[in-house]
Amino acid sequence: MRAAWRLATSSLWQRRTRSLLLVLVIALSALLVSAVSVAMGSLRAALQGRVTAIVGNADARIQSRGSGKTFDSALLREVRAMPGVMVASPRLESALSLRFGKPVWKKNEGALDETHRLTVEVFQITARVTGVDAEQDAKVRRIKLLSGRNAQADDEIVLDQTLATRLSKENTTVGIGQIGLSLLARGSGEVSRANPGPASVPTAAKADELNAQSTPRPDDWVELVRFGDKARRLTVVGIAEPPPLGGAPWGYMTIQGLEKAAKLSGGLTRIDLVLDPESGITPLQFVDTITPRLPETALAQTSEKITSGFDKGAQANELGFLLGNLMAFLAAGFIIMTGLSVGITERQRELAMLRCIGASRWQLAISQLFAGGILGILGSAIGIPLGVAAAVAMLTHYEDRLMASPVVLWDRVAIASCGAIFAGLVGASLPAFQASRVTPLKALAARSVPARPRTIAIITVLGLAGVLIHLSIFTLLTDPDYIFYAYVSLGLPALMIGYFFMGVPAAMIVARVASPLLEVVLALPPKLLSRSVRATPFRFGFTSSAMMAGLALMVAIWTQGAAAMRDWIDRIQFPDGFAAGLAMPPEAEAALRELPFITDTCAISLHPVETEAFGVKGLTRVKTFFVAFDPESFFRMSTITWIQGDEQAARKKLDAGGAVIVAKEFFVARNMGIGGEFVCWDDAGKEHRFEVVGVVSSPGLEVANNFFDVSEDFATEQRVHAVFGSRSDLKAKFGADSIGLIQFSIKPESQSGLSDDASMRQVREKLQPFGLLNAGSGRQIKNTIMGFMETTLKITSAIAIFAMLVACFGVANLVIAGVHARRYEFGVLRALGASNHMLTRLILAEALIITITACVLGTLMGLQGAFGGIRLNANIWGIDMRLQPPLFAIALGWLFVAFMCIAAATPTAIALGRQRPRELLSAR
Amino acid sequence: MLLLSCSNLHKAYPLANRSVPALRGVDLCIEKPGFYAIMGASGSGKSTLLHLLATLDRPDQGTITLASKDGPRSLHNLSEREATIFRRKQIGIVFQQFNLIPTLTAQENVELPGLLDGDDPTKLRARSSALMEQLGIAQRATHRPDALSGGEQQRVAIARALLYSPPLLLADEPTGNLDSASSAKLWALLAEIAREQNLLVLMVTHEPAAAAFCSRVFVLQDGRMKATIETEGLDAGGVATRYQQLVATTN
Repeated sequence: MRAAWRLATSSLWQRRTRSLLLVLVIALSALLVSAVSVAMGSLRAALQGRVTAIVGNADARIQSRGSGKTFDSALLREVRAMPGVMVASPRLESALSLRFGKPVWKKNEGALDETHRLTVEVFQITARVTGVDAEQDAKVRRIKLLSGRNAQADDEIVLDQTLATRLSKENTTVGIGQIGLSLLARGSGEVSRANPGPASVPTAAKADELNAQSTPRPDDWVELVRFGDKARRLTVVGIAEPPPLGGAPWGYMTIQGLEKAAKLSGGLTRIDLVLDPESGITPLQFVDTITPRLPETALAQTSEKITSGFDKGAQANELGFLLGNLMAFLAAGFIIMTGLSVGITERQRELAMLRCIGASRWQLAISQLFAGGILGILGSAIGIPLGVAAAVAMLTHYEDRLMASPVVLWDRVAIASCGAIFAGLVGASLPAFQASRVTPLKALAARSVPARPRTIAIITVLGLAGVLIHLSIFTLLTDPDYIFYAYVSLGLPALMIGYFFMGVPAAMIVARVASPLLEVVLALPPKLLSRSVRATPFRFGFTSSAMMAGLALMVAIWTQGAAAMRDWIDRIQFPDGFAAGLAMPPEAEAALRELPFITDTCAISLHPVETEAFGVKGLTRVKTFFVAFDPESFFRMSTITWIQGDEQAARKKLDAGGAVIVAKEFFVARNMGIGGEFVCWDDAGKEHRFEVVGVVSSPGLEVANNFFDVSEDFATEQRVHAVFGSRSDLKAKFGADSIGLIQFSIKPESQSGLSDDASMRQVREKLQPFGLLNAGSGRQIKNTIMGFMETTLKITSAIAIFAMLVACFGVANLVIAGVHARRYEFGVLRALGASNHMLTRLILAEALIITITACVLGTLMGLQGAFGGIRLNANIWGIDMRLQPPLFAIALGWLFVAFMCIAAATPTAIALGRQRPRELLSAR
Repeated sequence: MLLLSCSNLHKAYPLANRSVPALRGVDLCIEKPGFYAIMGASGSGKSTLLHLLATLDRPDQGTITLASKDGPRSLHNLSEREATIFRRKQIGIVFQQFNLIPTLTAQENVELPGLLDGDDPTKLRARSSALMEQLGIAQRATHRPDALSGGEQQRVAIARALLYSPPLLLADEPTGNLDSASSAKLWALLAEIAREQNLLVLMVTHEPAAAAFCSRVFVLQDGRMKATIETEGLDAGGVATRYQQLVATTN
């Protein structure tokens, strides 16, 4: 072992520059993986925090059915009396419209001096407010207070920081997850603070200082605004920390206080239960016992059922992380393999000498594995701390916006570290084999041996096999779950390995085709370039393969991303506008119709139900929306396309009950069409079956609902697509009938004289007293989603470019190795009369062969990868997308690859041109 | 008892679509230690013969027996593993190209066989120091090969080959990369080593001047043992004349 170790360190030290480049390849891969792991870990921790905020340490809960509904509070007494119940903490939830008069010091317009006078700006918001029994609630979860105390009296309220901020500045952003819009109310009002401060201040700096303290704080008050009632004051007694990842603004009151404020009485929204562990009663047993005794308006769930969606999501993330880890380090491993293999070829004589003096095959093989391990360890030691530091710095910088602190999961960092070492060892495996195969005699003879056609044929067959395995998964398998697992475990690695091997025949083909032109353009002797490639096809081929991975990633990302935008989001024909709220009363729709530019409205109720139609069994828990509406107005307003069935026949069956119309995605994913059956489960786990009476294109309701995301459950479940049924079924089977969305049509600007933004502002002002959380036009929603997707594409493209940069180091290493191995040959060429510039051009021409091969392979691999992704999307999520190559992204990728390859080769090419013939000839 | 005995050695190599015979029934017998040369024109089979003696290759036919430290040993049918281990301590090989590892010091290069054998570092160091002292390169112990002259590098290679005092030292054109003065010194050194350490040193060469330092010259021609030249009383010119006569007779 000592000998193998010494040989390993000696060989790495012998080629320090190249060893350093290989270390950097692994370091950059490790940096990327560790940075992503910190980001994912932080997000997961934030989601976990969110789940904890929802569930606390409750073992089970009793929940009202349907948004905005309550159940009789007498149930609380009954539950407390049940055996095994240690804590039963009640909660009441409602939406309240609150107003705050913010003190603002402003300079009078046109004034000559700097005096800023005290004025007031009134902000109004509809926020979710929870009534809690503070003492009981503290046993389940802790509301973290940033200042002040919990509410004790009926006219006291605690605001979370998000709510406090929204009450001091206008927020009408139509953004993903942006709910709780706050409006600057028109007209005058009074400052909601007993001692706001001086009536005027002499300087802008002093005004800024005072304005910075204008957000609501303990001892301020807010006004409760109710439609048809006089405004009432609520004293702010505390400011609470918002849950991780922000979300909706929240307020907290006593239960009695909220009952008075929301004009509710005798009802509860939830009871959180902590069971006595010594009672022997499990949460499931408790739920089974209590369920028959619950009224229609309530259901019981274990906390595990609630968090299982999050746990499954975390599992899926873990799988994604491991897969990403594997792919990144596999790519790095291939680069290491090619680099070390070239080193073996160069050191044939040295290796032969070692065999002559008694080195065993095993010792030479182990020395290569040691070399790979050293590269992996060094790469890991450099890359991982940098990756972690970079991610922590970025997350800390954006902590306020993300409302998530950086979290380093050391087990994932350890996995990344192992991955780096794995890359080195995998990369060293082929060179180890090659070194062990060195026969002393053949190596001492040092004859140039051409690559055997049989070996190239085997490599080509292996490459094609990998490519075909990836494709065959979709033709041979039909079950979506099998397809997913086969794709992840076999298809993707086969695709990568297959294309890596295909680099060899591809380089030879490209050399044959492109060399004549390149030789003319770069004034090289005929056949020199093509023979050079033919003599060492593996070096050229694997170098090209190393370069192609980043381009393939970019092509796949853009192909799929563009397809998602073009064939999914862009195809959705949104109505003119949506208003999202929490259990909006029917009066809200009537109020909306009063606006002169509104031409039509439709109130919509949505309720998430569990389905197995999408996702991967064992990995995801997916819900879909059961949507109910007034059919007359809905079908009049919506521009949906009937894939199967027609409106008339479908409406008859909907009215009769027990029937649904499904979105097209159900048809794509599960071939669910007319006459088929839609099966779903409600929150209590009860199964419901519906006959499918139509298949329609998506009208975007679930997209809009997810866009505004009124639910706190986004951390624990995925909700996709929709089925459309009757109101009676929604109420009878799921106990839900509250209005969560109102879609509306507006007159065009040419008729109304109002811009989109102006119309939306009026809608918001009109509906805010009715529990509106946000409103936006269909165009705004679509544009925002498209913008978000484009940003995501750009960010993921950065990852692809980073991957190309990693490969660039590998290419540089291989170019240096290739030049070094042929120094004597170059010396002979110079001795025969070749100019130094010709050698430089030859190296650059070889780099161009590598570029072209990498571009062709990378594009093909990217498109094939995108094809796989699109098929997988169709199978799992039912989203039907077309494969269309993104020409601009491909062209940009090609340019980048060319730039990287030429940049990697240029320093070596120039250095070679500077060497004298004697120096080159003495290399033998 | 014969020190080294080769009988009816045959070896052919595949080349393109045919088989090229390199040795066609070579017999070689050496009874006592000393400095011997194998001479012949290019393609006569001398390197092939050396490779077979070094257990780097196996004959197609024939036998090779060496009186090793552990008794007589057949070299023609060793397994690869046996041959590898045998070469560590029983055969020393000196190459034309020196073949030193450039990132190891001169002393570390000398110790390489011991490193491969997992020998005790302290003992190894002592042995290599003594050898380097003996060969007059002790003062270059810490230098890397690129800081040594050609002659010094070849001495390092010889020291490496002598680390375990093998009964057989094979040198394949060891002065091919040296100037004439350095070459002469090296041949004298090899003769001295053979004499003082009682080793069998067998050198492949095409230079008659080298052969003059040897006690016997084996002449190969067309894969066969043509003749043996006893060099006692002959100088380089004499050996060259005798060799030319032998070659001319054939032609």
